[in-house]
Amino acid sequence: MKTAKRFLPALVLLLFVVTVFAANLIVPDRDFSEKENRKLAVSPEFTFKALFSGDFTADFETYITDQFFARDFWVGLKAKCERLLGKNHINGVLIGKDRLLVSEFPAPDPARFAANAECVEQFAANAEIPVYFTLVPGAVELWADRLPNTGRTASQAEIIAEAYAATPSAIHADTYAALSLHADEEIYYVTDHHWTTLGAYYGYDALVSAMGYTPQALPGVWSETEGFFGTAASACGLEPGRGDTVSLRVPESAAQSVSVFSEGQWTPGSLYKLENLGVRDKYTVFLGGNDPLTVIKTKSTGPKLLLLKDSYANSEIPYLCGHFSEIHVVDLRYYKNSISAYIAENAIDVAVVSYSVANFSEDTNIYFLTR
Amino acid sequence: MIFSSILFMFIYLPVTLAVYYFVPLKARNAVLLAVSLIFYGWGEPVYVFLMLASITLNYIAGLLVEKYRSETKKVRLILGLTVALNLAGLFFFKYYDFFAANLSKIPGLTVPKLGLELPIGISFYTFQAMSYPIDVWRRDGNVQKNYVTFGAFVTLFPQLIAGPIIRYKDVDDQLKSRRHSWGKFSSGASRFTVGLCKKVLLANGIGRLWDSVAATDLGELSVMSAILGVLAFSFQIYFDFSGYSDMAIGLGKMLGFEFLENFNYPYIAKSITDFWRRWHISLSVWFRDYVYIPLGGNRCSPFKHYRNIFIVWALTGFWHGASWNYLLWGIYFAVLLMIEKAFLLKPLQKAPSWVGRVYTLFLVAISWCIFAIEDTPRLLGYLGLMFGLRGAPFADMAFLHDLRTYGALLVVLCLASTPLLKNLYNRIPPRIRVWTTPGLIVVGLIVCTAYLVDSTYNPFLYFRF
Repeated sequence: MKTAKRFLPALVLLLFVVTVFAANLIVPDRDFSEKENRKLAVSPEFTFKALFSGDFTADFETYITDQFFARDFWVGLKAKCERLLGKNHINGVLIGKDRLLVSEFPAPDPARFAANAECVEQFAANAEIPVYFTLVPGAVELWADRLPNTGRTASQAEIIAEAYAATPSAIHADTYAALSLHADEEIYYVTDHHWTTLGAYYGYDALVSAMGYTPQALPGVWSETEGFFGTAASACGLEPGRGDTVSLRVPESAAQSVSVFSEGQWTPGSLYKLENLGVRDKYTVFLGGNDPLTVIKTKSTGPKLLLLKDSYANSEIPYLCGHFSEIHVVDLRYYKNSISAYIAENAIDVAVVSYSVANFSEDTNIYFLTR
Repeated sequence: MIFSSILFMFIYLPVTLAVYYFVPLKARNAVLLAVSLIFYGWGEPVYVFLMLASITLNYIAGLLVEKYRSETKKVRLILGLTVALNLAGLFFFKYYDFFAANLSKIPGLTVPKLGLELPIGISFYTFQAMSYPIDVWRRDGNVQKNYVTFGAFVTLFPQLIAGPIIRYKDVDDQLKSRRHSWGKFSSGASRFTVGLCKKVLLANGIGRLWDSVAATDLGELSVMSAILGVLAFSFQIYFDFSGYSDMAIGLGKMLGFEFLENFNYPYIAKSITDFWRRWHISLSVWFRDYVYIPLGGNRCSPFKHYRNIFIVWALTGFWHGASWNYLLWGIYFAVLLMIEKAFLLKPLQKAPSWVGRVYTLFLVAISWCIFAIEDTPRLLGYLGLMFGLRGAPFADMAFLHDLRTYGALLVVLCLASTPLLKNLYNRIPPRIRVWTTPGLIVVGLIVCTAYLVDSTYNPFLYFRF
């Protein structure tokens, strides 16, 4: 018996290592991780050239880490251990009261930020149509009282003030003020970095008010989907409670036709891609995610709007249908043609540049505005 | 390759152990050489040739030393040449750019930099291989006629890239025959798991705190943040390095080897002299055997004795990296050791032990500032900041947040720096321990795996050396 027990430490280590080794061999490779929202590395091809350059070994390590079996379980386990140690800051995500998960927001690179503001200013100064510019603050700012104070969070109010001061040729819509009036309502998701359909309504309110329109009243909810775990949940590996609820308010019929231009051709689209309510990233229900160019024709009689935006605007666009006859939605991360030519060719009447503060201070594609 | 990686734990280790124990005893050194070369070549395949050159050089030197043993002049020439060639390799790959950069500061002189990638572990295996011809000459070890066996000694993967540095005489007999047993394997498994937890859970965990402090502008740091940063680095470097040594010793046992200890709770040392008997023991021992004693050690005039201390610790510092701050770090310790030798050691030994401990920890923490901050102006600024000379606020929100976030981990680190936990564990009756030890191993392995899978944050601090 005594000798048998001396085996035990050796045995458990060997068993563990061999079991994991075997599990990794048996479990089939995946192409894509929905949770991490990215393609996973595949088995690298062996060549002597790749071996001696060190590429093969590096790729092989990425491959086995990416394809590790039950990856999501391990990541979740780590997050739970960190919580046990009392950490409220995991993988760059702050863990706040009431299951709130929000990505941290350290001071952005001032050069990048200034360059982006300068691009907007040039665009507004040279455009022959009115240009509206608005920045949307995130939960890290307006729900700061529910989050741990890291002492390293940059003030988004200051960043917005700076950006507006640097763009005198644009007309500014004060989304910050509109949202902060309603900060005690559910204007952001608690596990995702976007605003909710309600938050987007207040953003819409601020924008069209600045443009001189009377905003329509808040439409009722016609679709609700629970169990949305967004980007912040994926990043830190925690999935608190039942997650978020995605609500749809403006009916699909607000748009007469939606056309998406992607990879060189036009395809029909819609305001909502309802099947995406069944995938992990349920926010992609709005417009079906981000495309280079989406043209929405509405039943309204009104000017033609060009909307230069990030994904925040996707859930705001349905509200805008009531005020414009056409909405041309451009995502500068994917659309690489001249914007001024587009304005002339399509007889655009008014342009809006709408970004979240976090994206605006990091984005590297905003200079396409000036091309 | 590093131990705390998915690749090592779940592919390399099971395959290596299977092959190693499958082949007959005679072939095991050959297996060790082969798998060690794969281990070494994984990150930088070309440098396998450098490794083979180092093996061949010292192998031939050993044979020649044995052959010409009676002819003192020839042996001295052979040894001198071998040591010079070994050091030339080390110098070329590790220090060339440093000297090029500094020589270029002389007006009218431009020495081009080469920008070579530092071969992993070159400082460790050069010292280890170099010890062999010297040990043969001193009759501390026997000549090794088998190239494969000698190759296995130099490349032995458990301690190849971060020590402990093994002198040839320590493993001479083990290379020829070693005992493999379940008991030894079991104690190796425990040791490996302890080391893995130290590295993955403790060192990596607290390393994030130091990284965030190190990345902050001096103007935005409070006094307490700076102090917390140094504490974090002190813990990080100790648990990183001693964790690696534990893993190496554990793996060695799994393969039937017994390596010497490399750390003995250095943070409970009662003097700097004591600290250096407990910190990176294998390096101190190497310098003692191959530099300090040949220079005369302490059996010479007081002047020479102090000179020897100075030389050894300046070299120790410079061994850690090709940068002025490492040299300064070594000299800092040389001065402290000389002061202790001259008069301070005796009163320290008479004083209550907490006096010596506080004194040692304080000076060691200062040394880690010198060690961690390569940029001299920042180093001076950082030290000034810690001592309140820059008018920085005493504490701020960032400090409070860090203290809250890392508080529990810091308590664990303090406890784990002392023998307390180990002693408490050993007081559990053995009949219970036979069950708890394997249980804890499983828990440790599972949790470490979770951290490894989650994290691409897995740097080994001792890689640069």
